[in-house]
Amino acid sequence: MQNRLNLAGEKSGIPGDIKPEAFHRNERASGKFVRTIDLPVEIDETGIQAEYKNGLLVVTLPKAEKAKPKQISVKIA
Amino acid sequence: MAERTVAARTQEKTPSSREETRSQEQYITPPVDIYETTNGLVVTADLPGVAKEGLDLRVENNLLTIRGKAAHAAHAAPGGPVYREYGLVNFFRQFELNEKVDQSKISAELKHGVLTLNLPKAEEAKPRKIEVKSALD
Repeated sequence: MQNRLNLAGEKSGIPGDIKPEAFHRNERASGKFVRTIDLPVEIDETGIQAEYKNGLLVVTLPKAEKAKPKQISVKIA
Repeated sequence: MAERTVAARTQEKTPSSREETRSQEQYITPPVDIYETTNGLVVTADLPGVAKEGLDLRVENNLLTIRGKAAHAAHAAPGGPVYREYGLVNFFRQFELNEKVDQSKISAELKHGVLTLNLPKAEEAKPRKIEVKSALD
């Protein structure tokens, strides 16, 4: 499980006691879902944050120190 | 309910503001569930990213309008996306209500980006049982 983000959840449907003939529209999807995302860089696992608000999940994955860009100073001879 | 989705351009009475607003921003039609209970109708709409402040619900001339503006701070962050397959969009949808809905008692709840609207039936439209008297001669 390196550099890979797994998400899983379930979207609940309409309560089961509603008869099919009572529906005027039935467009919304429901059920379980899963998603795996390969991450392009190494992640600082201790700094991961996730926020779920208004139906949006936002996961913040900070880069690991060693994956961050470094500046190399050039010595002039 | 004989509701149907009404395109904004068919709204001859209010052609001005709605059209102008829509042309500037991107709107999509949210998926909805509508089902009937003994007390009335329940409308559920998926509006991910829409906060209570960004939601505009109106009933005018028997027309129910749902308009939601999605916003999240992460989308305003500096730097371009590395990968993107989901964009924040605004939502717009209209339904025609028939007179059987008691428009003064409509209630709405927004939770986790899912809007639930309760449209209670008007008292006179509720089902009632009719007693049959047997005529005895």
